[in-house]
Amino acid sequence: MDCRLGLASAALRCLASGLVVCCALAGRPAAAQDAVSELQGIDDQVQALKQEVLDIERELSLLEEKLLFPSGTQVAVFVSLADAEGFELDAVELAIDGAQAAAHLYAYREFDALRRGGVQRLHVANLPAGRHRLAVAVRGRDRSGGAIEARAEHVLEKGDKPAFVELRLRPAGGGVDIDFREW
Amino acid sequence: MRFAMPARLRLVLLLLGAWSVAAPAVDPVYTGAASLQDLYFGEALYHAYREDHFAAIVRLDVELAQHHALDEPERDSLVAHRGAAEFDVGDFELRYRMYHRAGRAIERVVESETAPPEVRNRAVLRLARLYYARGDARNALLALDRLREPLDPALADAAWLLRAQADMQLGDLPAAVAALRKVRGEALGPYARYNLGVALMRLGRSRDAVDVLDAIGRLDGDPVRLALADKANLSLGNRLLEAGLAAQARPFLDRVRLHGPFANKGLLLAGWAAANSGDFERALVPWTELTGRDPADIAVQEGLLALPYAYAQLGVFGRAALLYGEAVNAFSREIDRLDGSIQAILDGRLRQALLADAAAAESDFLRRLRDLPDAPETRYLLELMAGHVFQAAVANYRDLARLYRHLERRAADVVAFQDLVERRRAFYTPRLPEVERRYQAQDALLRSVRLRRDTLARRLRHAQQMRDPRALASGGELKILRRLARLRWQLERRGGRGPAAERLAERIARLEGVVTWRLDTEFDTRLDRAYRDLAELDALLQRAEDTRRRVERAKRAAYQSFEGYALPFNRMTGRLAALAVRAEALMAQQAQFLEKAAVRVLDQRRKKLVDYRVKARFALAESYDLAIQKQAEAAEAELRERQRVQEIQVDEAPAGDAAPGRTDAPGGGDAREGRP
Repeated sequence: MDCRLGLASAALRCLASGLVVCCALAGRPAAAQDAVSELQGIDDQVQALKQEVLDIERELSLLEEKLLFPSGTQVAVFVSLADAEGFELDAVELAIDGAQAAAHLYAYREFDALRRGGVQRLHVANLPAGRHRLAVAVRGRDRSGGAIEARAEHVLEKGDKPAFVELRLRPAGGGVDIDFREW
Repeated sequence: MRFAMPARLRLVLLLLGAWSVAAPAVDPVYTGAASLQDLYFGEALYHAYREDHFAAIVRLDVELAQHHALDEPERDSLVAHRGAAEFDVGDFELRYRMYHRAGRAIERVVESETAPPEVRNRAVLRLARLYYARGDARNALLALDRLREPLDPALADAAWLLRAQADMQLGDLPAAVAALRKVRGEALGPYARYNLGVALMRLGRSRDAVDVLDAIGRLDGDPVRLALADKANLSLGNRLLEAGLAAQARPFLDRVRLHGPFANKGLLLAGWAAANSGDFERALVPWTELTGRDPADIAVQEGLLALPYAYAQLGVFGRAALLYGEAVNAFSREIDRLDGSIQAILDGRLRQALLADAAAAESDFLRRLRDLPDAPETRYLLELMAGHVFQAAVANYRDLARLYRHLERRAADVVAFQDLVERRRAFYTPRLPEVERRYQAQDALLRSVRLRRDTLARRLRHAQQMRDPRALASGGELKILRRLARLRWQLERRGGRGPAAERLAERIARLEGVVTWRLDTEFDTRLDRAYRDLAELDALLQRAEDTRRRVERAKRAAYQSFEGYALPFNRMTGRLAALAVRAEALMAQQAQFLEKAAVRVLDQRRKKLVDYRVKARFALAESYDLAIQKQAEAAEAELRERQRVQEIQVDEAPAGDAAPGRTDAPGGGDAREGRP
């Protein structure tokens, strides 16, 4: 009896006891090497394609900017965070000369990018030389989840050169200060 | 009740598996983020931090191209970040899996004689990580040899950790252990300590290995640390079990959590630890728990064979046969599911699933994998994703899909731009000649006014230098002086003598004197007023000049708004179309690779299950036979016993009392056994 059972059970036991190692290694070095080689072949082509797409994108971006936003009329508005301690940004709205120009709702990843020192280009427009009124509204939440809202205005003297305005948000005293900086 | 491992745990398992191949730091900090001097550089960082590395590279490429094209690049605000930008762009490329380009960018920094030592060392480490991520451990080690003193302690720790990983990949365990021993205690994270334990174990230094892995096995905290603790306990238990030390293995295997990502393997090995000690009854406990779980799990599938094996060892053949029968059914169902999955993959549904939420960042995609609905094409996706090659192929496939969509969008943009250019041409072309004519006329007038102004200014300067009051005389005064001069000339020509002529000459002289006196006395006042008038004229001329310049710029801008675009846009249309075709072809190639790899893995699992089913069927028949045989033997033994009792009774009873030929039917034996 035991002898008959022994043949099958030994095979099962051997099979079962080796399972963890077998599963981990999956016993496929040759197939794996082939797969790696094949993937590297495709990967090289993918990298070459990415390079070419980046090249054309760079050229196209330059042409696009020249075509749509000539330097003489270009106004770009950026958003940055001076400090994000106890503050979470929800939305920024921008109006130029009384007309809404941009409104952005922030996903967590975008807010995190600002928090870590990134600068978001909120809006690019063409404006003639002269005085222009920028009105900004910022909404967010404080540490306890309470709503924070801040508004500020700035007069931009637009000349013949492109204008770059940075909206620097700085949580302060339970609210947010909005600093305008012209570059 | 069936127990399926929660998707969240499988994700932890996936992340744990991917840990060792994640070359760059998980949470990047780019060099230029502090004290930002250039908004567009900040924008590139913004894209990078939100994991849109394509946009980050483009932004930085554009910035660097514009910077290098400047006549005086040192006056550009990017100059403050130029070094950081060239370093960071390599980092972005690395994260965008452009290893060739990233390697070249980083090499430039490494070779640079001007790069600060700290920046250079960071570039070296990055280069080494790049090689390691590409599976080239040997070159990773060679790159690490290029680090130069002095080394920042944190960077040195990171370098030793990477060196250890590369050494382990090359099988140089003593070097790996030595490298890990160099890492400062606080920097030696749990994963590195786990690697150290495994390396020590493989080197045969069991006592040291047990110390290290035992400590890891007691980790507490977040799910990843707990999973690592399970992994350490499992490795240790497995190794001790292999060494024939089942009793020592048991405490470690008992520590593996019942609901962690390694729970099933833990239960399986816990059973074997008991079985190897000859305690099959004890083995029944983990294996019974295991076989109630998700039959798609490989450990559960093997548990389905192990549990009846234990019953058989205990001599409970009926129960064993019953469980082998259940195992056969479970394997058949799983084989059917695998067939369904393979067919779904061959039908192209895997490639569709991989593009779900294609715009999401990679880390988001990994997180969302756990939320995918249970469908044949995605059922084994998380497990497949545990392999580095599969992950790399999926990342490529998703990159290609994004590139393809980007190319399509940009092709549409170019069409819109061409339309815009043509509309501008149609608007400006009839108007610009008239604008040009009027501009030329106004320009000529302005030039003539400027000439006259210059003449006046010269005269004024001359009058001031020579103190010539007449130069500042008004038209009327000059007329009077000219008339007086003519009168004197007429008087002298007539040779007038006598008192009347003298009186006339005197009057002329007096009148000239009045005018001259006024010119002399008012000279300074007049000069001042003349200069003020000139300044006013200059202001007017300046305004006119500004207007002329604005008109000139507007005219040039009007021309530039439609001139010079046709050729580049036409070329781009062709290039974009060609690139889209290549992207599509590569997508198909990459998808086929993925499908082939997935089908290969699933087919291996299927073959294994078919093999298990054969074995289970064989064992089922064997157990059934043994159960029958045992039953028959029991019945026979009972019969013999009864006969013996009857014989004794016959011997003891008086003749004629014996019951004639009483026999019981077989099968009335011990019913404790489960029947098949």
